Amino acid sequence: MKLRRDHQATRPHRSRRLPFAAAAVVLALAAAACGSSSGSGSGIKEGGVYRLGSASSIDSLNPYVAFQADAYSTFEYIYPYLVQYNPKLQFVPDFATSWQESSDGKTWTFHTRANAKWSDGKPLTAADAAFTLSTGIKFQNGPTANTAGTIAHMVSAKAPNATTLVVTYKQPVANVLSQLQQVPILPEHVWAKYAAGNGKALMTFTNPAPIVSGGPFILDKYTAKQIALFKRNPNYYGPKPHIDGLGLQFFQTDDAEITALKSGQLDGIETVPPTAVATLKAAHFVVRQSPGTQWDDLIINSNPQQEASHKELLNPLLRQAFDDAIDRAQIVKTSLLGYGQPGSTIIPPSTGRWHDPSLKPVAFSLAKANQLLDQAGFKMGPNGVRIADGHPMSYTVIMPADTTGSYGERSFQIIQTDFKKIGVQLNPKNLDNTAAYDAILANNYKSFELSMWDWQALADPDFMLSVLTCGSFNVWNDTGYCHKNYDSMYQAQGAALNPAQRQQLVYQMQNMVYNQRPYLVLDYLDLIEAHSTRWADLPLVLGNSWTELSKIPFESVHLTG
Amino acid sequence: MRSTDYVLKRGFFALVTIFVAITINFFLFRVLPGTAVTNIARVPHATQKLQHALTVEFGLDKSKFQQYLIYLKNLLHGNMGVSFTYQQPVSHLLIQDLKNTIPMVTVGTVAAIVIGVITGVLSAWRRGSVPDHISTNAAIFFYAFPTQWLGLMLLIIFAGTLPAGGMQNPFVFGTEPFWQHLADIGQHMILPAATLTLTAYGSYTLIVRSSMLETMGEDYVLTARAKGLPPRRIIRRHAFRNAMLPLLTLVALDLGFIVGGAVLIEVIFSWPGIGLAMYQAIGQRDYPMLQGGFLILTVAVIFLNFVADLLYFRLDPRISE
Repeated sequence: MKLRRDHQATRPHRSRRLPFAAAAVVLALAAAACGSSSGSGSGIKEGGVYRLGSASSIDSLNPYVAFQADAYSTFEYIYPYLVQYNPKLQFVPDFATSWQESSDGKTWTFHTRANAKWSDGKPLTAADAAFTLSTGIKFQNGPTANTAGTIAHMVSAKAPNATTLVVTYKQPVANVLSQLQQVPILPEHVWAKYAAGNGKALMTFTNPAPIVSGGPFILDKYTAKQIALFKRNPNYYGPKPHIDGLGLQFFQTDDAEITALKSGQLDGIETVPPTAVATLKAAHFVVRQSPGTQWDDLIINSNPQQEASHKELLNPLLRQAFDDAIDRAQIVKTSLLGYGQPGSTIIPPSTGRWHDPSLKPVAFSLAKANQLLDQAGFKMGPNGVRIADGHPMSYTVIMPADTTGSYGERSFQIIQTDFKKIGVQLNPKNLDNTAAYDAILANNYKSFELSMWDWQALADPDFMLSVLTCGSFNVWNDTGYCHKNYDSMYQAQGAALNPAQRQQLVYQMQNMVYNQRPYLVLDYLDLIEAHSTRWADLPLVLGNSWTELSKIPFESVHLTG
Repeated sequence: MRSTDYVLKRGFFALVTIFVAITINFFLFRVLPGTAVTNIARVPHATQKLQHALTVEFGLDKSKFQQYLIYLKNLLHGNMGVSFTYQQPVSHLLIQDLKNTIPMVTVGTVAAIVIGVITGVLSAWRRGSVPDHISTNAAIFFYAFPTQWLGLMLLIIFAGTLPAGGMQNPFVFGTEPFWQHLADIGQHMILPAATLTLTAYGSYTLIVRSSMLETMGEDYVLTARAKGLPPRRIIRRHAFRNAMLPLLTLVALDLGFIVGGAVLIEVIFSWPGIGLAMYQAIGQRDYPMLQGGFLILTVAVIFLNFVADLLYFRLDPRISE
């Protein structure tokens, strides 16, 4: 299942026009390609509007309501954040130029940019950051619940002066920067009135364009389900983007999006389906493939209290046999068309140091799988289906639309065919995502047997690890897995201020999951982006250029000279 | 039957049908597994406490019957509720979607009716001729095509010539002059409307042809011929008018569905209409949006059927006898 990114905030108000866009002048961005002034002499051509196609959408411009990835990428580019990631996935300054933590790890002090301004000319100071965080704390169990995860354990946020922000936590928190990287700083002079009283107005405020922005771009125009147009923010405190503007067009189908790119109606697209890569390469587009954060899995019910009719699913030998019977290389080759890697742990390699490289994908061996099932005492029954505890080993696999709507169907067929060879029958049950999730949770995780789904990991491992905790029951936990030791380690990694120590804990947790197998990780899907050769210097941050992690890509992109 | 009695009777049945449809719409979506809270509460580190708070916030903690009464009460006050997903009034959201849907589907449907009637009449008139065979086979051919396949083919064929998606040039800063804006929308409308026309006109052709053939075999047409009236006049004045009754029913139904949008077409061409909105609302279990969307669709279909009934009354004297 996909986590639609993290939380962040948005905010409204006016902006101004592109320098060359005379009042009410139509600027067909096709013309954007022509750019405006010429460059700095190093092959950089200034100006132009980058036209980006997206198969996602902006569901809301209000950070307390938004859910979809494009909304969070929008917030990243129009709002200040304290920190951001660079392409190497290191934290670098954004609105905060430096920061330090107290020796007990409970107090963090951020030094922010001096003399910064919002797009409407009002001062942008540490007070805005303090307001945003304080509002999040105040209403975290109500109107600002959407951002509650980013202020976990936070007690207060204060701005003793215009360039200093002091954030206090009730306990040491290991991932403070990763949490705060997800918090867009909202202009207090716009949002304060909505945070008054019970704060309910925070959720109903639409934050319409043009939005008072503090990032490199101003959201100038937004039409739901159609477009979002950004223009360069002249008041931005950071490096000025080379482009005059950025346009985001939303498509409901990949085919239309690819067609638009090929016919020159777009300059780039966020996500290229593997089936379109060859076509785009042949058409001389720049197609970039990089390890992504999505991993696909086969979920095995791990609730010790599950119904007797499938309680053998708890048997470690069965789980190992299932793992051995998955031909990951074939899945990558056939389902992902080669654009991915066989999977091993729940923390993908793309997250860098958090992935435990010692855990390798389980080798495919039907012989070993059969041997393990024999060893477990599951004898082959009539019709080639084994018998476990008196009943055939025939299982229903819950298939959400996330899975059936893409390559997951092919992966399932590969697994189903191989499982048949070890005497296990798999029966798909297709449901939409909401119904699938409720089917897993039904009867307190006692009823479901197997499921195939996927996860979208974040740069920091905290969230991904939290999914298997007992506390995530009925919220994010989709396996029924609950283990006291795992939960203890989760708490410990969350408070480990020493990165090396935290890394060790994260490795141990991955090991635990790898061996106990609530998830059989099938593969890690590559991220594939494409853009026209007319553009250059568009770095990827964790596989994306249009990202909620960093402002850097669209600060640096430019037309080729 | 007196016309007033007829209108009152049909009007009463229409109202009862709307009420029944509202009730079914309400319970139908709640029978589906999964709730809106399942979706919305799934933010990182969300707790069961938060889930409960959202459940209360949306009124989903109340019994279904209580929710139903509240819904009816709000509806009587013209309040269609607030979308769970967008946190905005449903009526506001649906009106925006309707504004996008109606022009495209109207153009597509009207074109389909016009083409269907013309080709149907010509086929009947030239029954058994080569044009009749071509017209009839083409109608069956397009009628049988899956909408999504035809849409994708048009998309590929006209790539680079016509816009691939959306309903206007998205990359336009500032405000376009009105006529330019209109032309822009028109250009974007061509492919989705053409897809709708091609997939819909076939049924009109076949019905009109069949109805015309039946009418042209009637005695009064024979009499007209015997009187030496010109063929065109016979077709126009005597056959066509009487053949239009079955078409009227079909048109009334189709016009009703205009407000429901054409879901597949809106998805393929990223047309931000009500069909697409309802499609997304189902996945999100956004009950207020679903109820609102289906309410509009229901009322439109029933109202237009009511209008068709009235026209029948006017056009067919046998009903009033």
